[in-house]
Amino acid sequence: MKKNILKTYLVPAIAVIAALLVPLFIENRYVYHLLIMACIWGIAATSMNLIMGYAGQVNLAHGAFFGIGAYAAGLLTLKLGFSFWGALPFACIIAAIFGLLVGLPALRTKGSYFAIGTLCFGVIVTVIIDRWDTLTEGQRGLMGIPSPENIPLPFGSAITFENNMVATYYLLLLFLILTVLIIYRIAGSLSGRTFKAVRENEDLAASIGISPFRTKLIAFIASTFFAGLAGALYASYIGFLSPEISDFHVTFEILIYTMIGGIGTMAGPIIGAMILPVISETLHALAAYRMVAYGILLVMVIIFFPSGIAGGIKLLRARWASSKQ
Amino acid sequence: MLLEIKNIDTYYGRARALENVSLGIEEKSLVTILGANGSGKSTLLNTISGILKPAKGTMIFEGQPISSLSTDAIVKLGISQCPEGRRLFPEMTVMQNLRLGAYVRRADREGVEKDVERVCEFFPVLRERRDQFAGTMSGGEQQMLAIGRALMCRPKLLLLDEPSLGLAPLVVAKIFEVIQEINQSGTAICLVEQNASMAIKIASKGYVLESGTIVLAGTREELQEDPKVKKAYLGV
Amino acid sequence: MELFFQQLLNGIMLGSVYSLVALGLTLIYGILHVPNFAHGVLYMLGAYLAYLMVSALGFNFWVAMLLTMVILAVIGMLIERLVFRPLMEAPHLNSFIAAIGLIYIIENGALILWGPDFKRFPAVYDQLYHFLGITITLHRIIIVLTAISLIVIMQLFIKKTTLGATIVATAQDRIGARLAGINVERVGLITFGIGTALAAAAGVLIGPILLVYPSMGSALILKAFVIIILGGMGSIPGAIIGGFILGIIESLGGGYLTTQYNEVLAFGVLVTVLAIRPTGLFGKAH
Repeated sequence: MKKNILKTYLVPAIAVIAALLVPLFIENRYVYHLLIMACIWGIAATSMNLIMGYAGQVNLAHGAFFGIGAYAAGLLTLKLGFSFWGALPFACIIAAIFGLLVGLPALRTKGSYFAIGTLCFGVIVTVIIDRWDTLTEGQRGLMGIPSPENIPLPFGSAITFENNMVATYYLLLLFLILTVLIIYRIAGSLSGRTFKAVRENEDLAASIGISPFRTKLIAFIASTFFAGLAGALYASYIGFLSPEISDFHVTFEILIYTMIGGIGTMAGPIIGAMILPVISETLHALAAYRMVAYGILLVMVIIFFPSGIAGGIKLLRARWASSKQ
Repeated sequence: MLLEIKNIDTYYGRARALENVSLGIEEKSLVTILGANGSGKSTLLNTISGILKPAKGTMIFEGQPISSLSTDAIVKLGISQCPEGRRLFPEMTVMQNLRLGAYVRRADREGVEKDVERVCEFFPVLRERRDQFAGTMSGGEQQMLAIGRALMCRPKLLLLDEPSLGLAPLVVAKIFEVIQEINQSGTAICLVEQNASMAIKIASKGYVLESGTIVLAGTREELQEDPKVKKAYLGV
Repeated sequence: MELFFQQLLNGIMLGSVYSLVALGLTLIYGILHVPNFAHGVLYMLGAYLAYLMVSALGFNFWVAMLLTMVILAVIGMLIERLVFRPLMEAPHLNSFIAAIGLIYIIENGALILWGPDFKRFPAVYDQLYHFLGITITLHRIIIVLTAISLIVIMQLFIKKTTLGATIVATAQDRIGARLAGINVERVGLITFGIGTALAAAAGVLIGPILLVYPSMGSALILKAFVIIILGGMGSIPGAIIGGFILGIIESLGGGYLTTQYNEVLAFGVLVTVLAIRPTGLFGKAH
């Protein structure tokens, strides 16, 4: 039993320590940029994993919730004069409220109906952001979204985030770790087990007294809340938003990270969000080729390794363990 | 021997559903397979039909190995199944269902029409409902249609998966009557049943499956006399 | 009133193309049991191929259309064999995601091959007709007639031929079809071929009216999804009627209600319908 606890926490602990130590070795701003983006997409993919990997619902509006969070943060800071810290919780809550409003009707549908229903909702969100330019500035985009304000420290000093890649990196890493802890707390708690029961067999879950609807709704709202968080962090880090940040390409991107990393596993979405953007950044000049490569990768993974990189590692370890016996 | 099965194992995902099963079905005989829910009866029929593939073992039908053949090739050779849940085409008419049952011999149009007549003679209600959608019929009528459809390819061996399940006693009697008629006309039958007493009465030979393995095999008389069968399956 | 008839006519023209796409999609749904997301990019590919044949090779429009349908049928079958068949036993979600992968491959492949700019099909049949105050080009009439002929041919094929019956049977009960001796893998292959050829035909027909560009499939596939959900997934008459209804709603909506949000009208309708009836207008409870 003790050994198991060690095993369960050892790898994540090493990963966290390694992530904390990164600034000792790296000064390159570009590497920080990649790491920061990996944190943002890691939050988005982890939250998608909750609704898709644990509750089995393909939410194709995830990008829209990311966009709602991003625009909420942008509009609150730019148009209503909120501070970043003031806007951040509101952005998450606004995304979650939309999650509730969409989830109530949408989760009554199943399978493909749910996927397409949410996809259509996502398209509507993008078009509204695009056309309602008196509010959102439409195609011109929202510019100058502020970085997080300084956090004062005792003795008159402060942590500044503007132009401070190391501080920004630590901040986003903190949010990523918090997201992972909370989401897997949800997934691992009793309701987490019911999510899995819902995914395996909805009728069975219902027959043993688990309300699939309530469980799915909780998963959906939690997942949209964190999608909104990822969006808000993105808005503040990049400082600029245009309607495309809410469209289904973003959903697909997050979906790809989740799938290739390993759906239904804790590490998978983060691994996907770490590796794939790096690949795509290196192939930046070859955007269309990169997308073709993504497509091929996605198809191959789904056919040959449906549980992704993390699932593949698990499988190899299980084989290794059984061959040792 | 029409069908000879030797030492097959079949898996459902990782779970072994059949273990080392061997059995033989002679030409024109009626063999029954008894067993509780989940003992592997349907798995056995689906393995014979090629819906599931055995992990090991051989299945020889009329001298030809069939364990690697696809379901349609097996049907073509003359093994037909009337499956659990009937698997009719619910939004097709009775006639369309029957004609698709004869898909493997669709070139023989006259023969197919003759067989439609033959099936309707077995089950006159199908003639009355000829243009009704299969999905809108009663359970008993659907079962009759399912047996009829399985007959349309003129099988040498007919596999029947619990034809009496959930039906009224009168309908069951009718179906068992027809099963015997089909058998007497020269078609071998492998009958999987929970209704053991009825099945044993019409069978010449029987096997008992328990959690995926055959625990007992014998002729009708042997099974009827076996104390374990009496207690567990015949309820006497 | 003239505006009404003009828009109605446009709606019928659009609807006939939507119907073709939705009909192919609904046939393939019977095999995959999820809507094939990649259907739209195959429509796009059809439009491109025909455009290239007509503009670069100087082919006759009809020859180009026929050739394109054949080529796309082959591509559809390849996709079935290489991508979807290995996923047949896996959860449906996997097919759905594989189709998204195909979109990436094909749409960006088109972008690499032919660039992002909009291509204009050389005008064919651009004679104008005027009657009752309505103006219509010959090509639009040809679209409607060709699409309707294809739909009728498909209906006859499905209703009257054994091969057609096996497609319907496989969609209704795959295991039942196997036990009836039908080679369901062959049926799957053929269905993909036919469905994709229909999408290609739609792309070729509409090409000269709209423009041809790599992402033209994305907008359409969403509408096709809306149609087959409203019409009941897998329902053939639902797809045909649904296609015409959506075309007309869009056209009239664009003429009378809103031009700004015109393209999302259909999605709004869908979201509303699903909120009220979770299984679609004609869908059965499952």
